[in-house]
Amino acid sequence: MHEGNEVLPKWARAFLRYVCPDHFLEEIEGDLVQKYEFDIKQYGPQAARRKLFWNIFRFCRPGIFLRNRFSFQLIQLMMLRNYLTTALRVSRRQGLYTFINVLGLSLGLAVTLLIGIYIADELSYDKFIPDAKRIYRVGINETFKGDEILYSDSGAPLADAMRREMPGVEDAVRVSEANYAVRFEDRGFIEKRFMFADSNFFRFFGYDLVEGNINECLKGPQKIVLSVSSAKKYFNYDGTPATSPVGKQLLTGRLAKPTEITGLFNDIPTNTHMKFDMVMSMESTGFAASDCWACYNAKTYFKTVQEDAKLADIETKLELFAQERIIPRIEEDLEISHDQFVKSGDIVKFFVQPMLSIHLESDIDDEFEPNGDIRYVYIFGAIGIFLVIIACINFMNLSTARAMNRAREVGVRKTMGATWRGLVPQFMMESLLYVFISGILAVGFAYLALGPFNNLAGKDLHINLFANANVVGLVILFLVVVSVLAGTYPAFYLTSFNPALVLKSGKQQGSARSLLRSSLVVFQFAISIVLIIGTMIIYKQVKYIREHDLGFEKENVLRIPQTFVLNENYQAFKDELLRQSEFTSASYAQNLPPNISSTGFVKAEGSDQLVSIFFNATDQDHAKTLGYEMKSGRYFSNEFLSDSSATVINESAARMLGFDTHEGKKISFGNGQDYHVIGIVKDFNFASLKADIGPMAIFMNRETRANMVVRMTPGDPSDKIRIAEDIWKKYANGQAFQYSFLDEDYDALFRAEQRLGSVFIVLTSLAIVIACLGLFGLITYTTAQRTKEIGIRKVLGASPAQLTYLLLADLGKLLLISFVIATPLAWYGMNEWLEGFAYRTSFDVFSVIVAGLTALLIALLTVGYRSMRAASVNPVDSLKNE
Amino acid sequence: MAKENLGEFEELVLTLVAALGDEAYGAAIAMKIETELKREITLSAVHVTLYRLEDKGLVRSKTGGATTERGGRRKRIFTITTAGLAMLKAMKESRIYLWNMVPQLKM
Repeated sequence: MHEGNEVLPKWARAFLRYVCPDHFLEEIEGDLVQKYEFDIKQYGPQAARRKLFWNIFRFCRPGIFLRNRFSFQLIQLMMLRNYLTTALRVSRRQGLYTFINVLGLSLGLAVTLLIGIYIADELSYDKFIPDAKRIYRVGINETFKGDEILYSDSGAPLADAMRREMPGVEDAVRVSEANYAVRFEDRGFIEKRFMFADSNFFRFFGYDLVEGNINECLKGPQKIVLSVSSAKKYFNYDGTPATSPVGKQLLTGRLAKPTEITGLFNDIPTNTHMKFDMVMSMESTGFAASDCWACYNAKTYFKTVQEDAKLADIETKLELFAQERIIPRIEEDLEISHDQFVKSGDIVKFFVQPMLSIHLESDIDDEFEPNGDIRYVYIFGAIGIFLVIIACINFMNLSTARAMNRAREVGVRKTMGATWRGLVPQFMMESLLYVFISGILAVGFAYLALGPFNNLAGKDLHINLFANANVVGLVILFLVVVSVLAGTYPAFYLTSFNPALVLKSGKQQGSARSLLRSSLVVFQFAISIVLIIGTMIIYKQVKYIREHDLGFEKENVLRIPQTFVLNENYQAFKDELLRQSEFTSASYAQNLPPNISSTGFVKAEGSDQLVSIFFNATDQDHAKTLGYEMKSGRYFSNEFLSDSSATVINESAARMLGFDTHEGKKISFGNGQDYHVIGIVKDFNFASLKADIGPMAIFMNRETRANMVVRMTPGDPSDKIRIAEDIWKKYANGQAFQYSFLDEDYDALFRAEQRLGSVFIVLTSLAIVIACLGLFGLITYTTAQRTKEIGIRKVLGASPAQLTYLLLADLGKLLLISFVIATPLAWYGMNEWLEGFAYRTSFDVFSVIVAGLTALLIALLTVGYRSMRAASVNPVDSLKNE
Repeated sequence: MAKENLGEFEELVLTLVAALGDEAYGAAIAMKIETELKREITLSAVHVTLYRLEDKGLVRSKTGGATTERGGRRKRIFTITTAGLAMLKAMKESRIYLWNMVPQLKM
């Protein structure tokens, strides 16, 4: 059609083809060519060429490219109403399908929404802190005999040294947390979110004060700054200056020292790894001015001068600090030479963590609170994406299945002149309608589920759709994407019908066993099976841990923390408790399981080998109260005065120190502090079961009164607690009575795992529900496709049972494939998870089989009825139309 | 339908469609405007105006036969409709009527 000497370049023609409506393209191109030739004569070739390009580009204007594209003319408006009417009629006529379709999609969307909020919250930790990207924390890594122990605390002089000696460090601050007794008149509590911090603390982290001077409030000993809600708790502060507690005094600590309130801050957000209600000046602590580099007392945070600063210089300098200031101190304490230390291969070094990574990536025992876990964020994120994909897939599957009943409608529309340009928008609009209804329902579901979800996940999340435009925009964008994804396939599938065929038989013949559809079923069942196996293993592991023998009797033990507030009454309190028949034994101890975390180094007498060891100090009744079993020797006794320089070690410590018996053995702290070993106690678990039982040395301290454990007689504890509380009140000078049960404290160690288990159960159930909805749609589609085949088989003598089997056999094969895919995936994933536990159950065949059978059973129940009905249809009905 | 008014450029294009008769198509009108009125315009402006006039029912179009001169591409020939002619006439008359009200000054 065109001549060889084409004037318009290729790209220009592509551009015009894109911009101009088809039916104007030819004349526009022609006019451009003609105008160009005219311009050559008029202005010369160069100017003409320039004008040509300009003319081409100017065709990109609304009057041209919007023409006949989005203009709603009268006829289209009428069709729109017709589409809507049709959609409503169809949805009412096929009420069950509509219900299943919308329900499945909205469940999937709701879960995704919740998971999205959860992940957004996890990822938002500490980001609100103004200089978050420049803040890092220094921790310490001690590796002795290959045992790596990480501390998030470091020595008191570090912060000041960093400030003075490192040019790349703008500022540094020390923070140390404590459970601390606080009292005002008759109101006394043990504050758990209580911190000591240097005076630059509030400026460093960018927290503003409601009242008080931000630079001065933490200067000097015995100064304290309260959150607004603690001010409410102690002083009924209501925001007015008249009720402000600033300037008043609280009594703090075991000595009830008067402490001046110097400021108030707004309650801090929940999404930070460092949560606190009260901050007291660092100078109130004994270690504030300490020069001990090897005493890890406080967490040290520092701020670099620049964002994304290279930390190499700082790390080199820290390495130097460790070499010159910590290690010599350790050597001195242990009376070993530097060569001996180097030869042992032991390591003491600093490490630097970006503050933003702490919540999700740091898992150190002495964190402020148990942190989140980036792996769970990935797992939940993956599940959320899978669920929404499954939901979209089902939506597509069901829509195509429904299309079977609408083939005739499409045929009529096509015969009346509808092109695919008219039909695709119709079906797209229908999906859009369904998706938006589902979207609205999903938000409703999410609102309803938020409370239980928060309980499960241990969070305090809110849905704030209208808080900012970004979220609304994102949600709408998400819905549009989902509706396009979910609507595209049905729309194009439906419009591809051949009207002649469809009008003749009323059905569009397609393949009943489409590869796409089958793989979708395999995909979603594989996911369901993985989730079922995961849930079972998690529950098995939690059960295993709870029933694991701890090495002592954790039942019927009452734990009374912070008994030092009893002061000189401590012995009287204990004596009076033991006079009651309800309490069989009681003991004071420095630390109580499961929170024994003080550590230090000892070596066996006559050896140079350091052993990092956990310490505790108790009175003589401890072993009896908790039910420790002795492997050899004896526990402390009042009858031996020498016991104050004696120690009892556990089996693990004996192993590491190389003792096979306690007799004649001594351990040494250096500095001439030697303790003779009087007994070896059988290993008992004093920390999380995620770790092996560490070595431990227990010392005798008759005066210790930090915490108390009381063994009660079995049975309902509520009366006993009342009795204990009454006795407490006699001796405690108005301090609050606090208690917990030892077995519950152990259970609390696995709350994260239990939560994970519950969340998995919910997600698994949802995945199964959604997968079943999809399966239901699929079987409906398949049986509809094979109505005629079934009819013929029946006429030829097949029984309903045989036909049901025929229909289910296909499904069985698909399930088998998903089972084969899912098992190794689950095996790999769950083994990775179990690796994190020192005491773990195994991945067993039983769970796999149960998961497979569950999936099979649920699938059969879903499709069984449908298949049986299809198999029992009278063949006359299915064949008469031919 | 409410009585519609034409813009200046629309009136110009419509007049040229009437004037050019069987030779009224995009490029011809654009060239005419350039040669007769010495006015620089883009081709797309003419096209958009022509399509708009067609929407308003003032011109009608049909595809012409193939020619050799413009890469073998066909032209779209526009002809003025009765409504278009009436509109032009009405506009011209109202202009003359208004012009007569202007005091005749010597120039």
